[in-house]
Amino acid sequence: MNLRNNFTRIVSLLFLFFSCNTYAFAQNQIEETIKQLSSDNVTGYLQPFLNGFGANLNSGFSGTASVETGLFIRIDAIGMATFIRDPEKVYEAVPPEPFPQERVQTATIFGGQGATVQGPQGLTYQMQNGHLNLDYLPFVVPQLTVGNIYNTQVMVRFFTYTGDSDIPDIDLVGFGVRHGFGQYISALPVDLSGGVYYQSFKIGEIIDTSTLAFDVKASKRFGPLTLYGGTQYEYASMNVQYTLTNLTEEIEDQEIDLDFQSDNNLRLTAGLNISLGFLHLRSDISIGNVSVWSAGIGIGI
Amino acid sequence: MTGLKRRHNQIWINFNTQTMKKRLYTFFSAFIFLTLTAGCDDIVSDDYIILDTINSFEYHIDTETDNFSQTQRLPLQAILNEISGADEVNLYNVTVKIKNIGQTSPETEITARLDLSRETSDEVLTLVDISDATLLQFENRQSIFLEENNGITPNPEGVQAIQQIFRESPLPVIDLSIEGHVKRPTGAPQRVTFDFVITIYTQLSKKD
Repeated sequence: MNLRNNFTRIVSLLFLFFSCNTYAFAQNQIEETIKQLSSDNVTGYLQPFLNGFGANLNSGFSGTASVETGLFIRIDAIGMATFIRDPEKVYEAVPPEPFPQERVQTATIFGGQGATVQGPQGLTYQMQNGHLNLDYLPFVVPQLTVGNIYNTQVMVRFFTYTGDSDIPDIDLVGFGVRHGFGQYISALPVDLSGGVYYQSFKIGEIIDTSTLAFDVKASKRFGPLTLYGGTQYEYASMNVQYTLTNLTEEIEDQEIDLDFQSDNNLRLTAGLNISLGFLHLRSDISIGNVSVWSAGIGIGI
Repeated sequence: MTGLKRRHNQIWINFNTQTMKKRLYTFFSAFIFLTLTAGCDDIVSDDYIILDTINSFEYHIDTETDNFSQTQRLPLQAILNEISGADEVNLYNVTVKIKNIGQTSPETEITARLDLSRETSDEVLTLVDISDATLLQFENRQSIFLEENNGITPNPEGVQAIQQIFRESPLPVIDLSIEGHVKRPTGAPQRVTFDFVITIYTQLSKKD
């Protein structure tokens, strides 16, 4: 009964997130805006989003370094939030001709109003506005962890949404493998583990993100509490594909197909895990080029 | 006595474990809920979506004489309505280009004038003068707002007028006329064919 209630609540939270109409509207606004950006400007506009989104995806894999052989099954709902600082709200963009081909500071996806550029003969050009009014970028993923065979466990993150045409399709698939080193170095006062994690996340038809992370984690258990920390090397890349539409036969549409990478590659993490029977709670903070707070609720053994 | 104490301790531990579980669960649920949904009401900024729109109009010139003249009537509001509803319109560029569609010598020179008038007015304003420019010079689009473009002289009065027109709501119907003459290179065929292309660049701002 308890297990069912917990599961229902977790699913409800996930549903709430993904069915939030305003969020969906934001997605469509973003898609519309991206399609207006030239290839020179789209990476700058989206770079902070990739930094935050990639950092979110690369967070919250586990709350302990203890991976001992034995049955292990757990389902988690993991929430993450990347903090967005002021420098991530602006970037330098080049306006179209006939405006001076000089860089001007304007809003990223997290910024406010785009800059207005003055041109010849009193012309003005408004650069694209930011559309996400956030101090942190939130995200949640469901995760299933099973193991442990030979001190090794696997993790799966999966979510898919296809439906209402107003809401972009969402596809998340992630896999991770984690191995405990306790069997090799038993004299250590802490548990040690290492893992590798890959995820692919698609939003709508134009954004495709993939992440890869390698971590080394240490933890120490004190009754129901576990303190954990570690370091992680990570990588996130985004592919953006769209047609820069010119609504005239005279000018051909321009196919934009861009790959770019996140700026954050290394992070340090510290956190606390609480295990109360079947219920597992954890929260941690990661410091790197961007800072991420993650928290998770899990049920399982 | 010891048993009672142990039972008492056991009861105390159970009570507090349950309370702690409940509190922690509530805390973490609230945290995740707030993290994920705080943005829902406030996640989308109030700033407009800006759509860059481009419309081209072609004047097909096919003449064996020296002179040419053509007019196109442009119902601007109707044209923009075909693209999307907009709360504001901003004109940010007008370009001219010549597509040499036949066997016309690229060295053929043209001198022309692009005139603007409203459907409801007899006043005609010149937007731009083109003087002794070869077809080759206009192979690529050239902004009428840049004075340094070869062969183009924008007329400030006409340029201001077209900008003002795009600030009106609803947008009016306008006539854009191209009138000029050609100068063929020695030995070139008498027939001259080309498309004179006017492209209007606007930004539409809309809430959704």
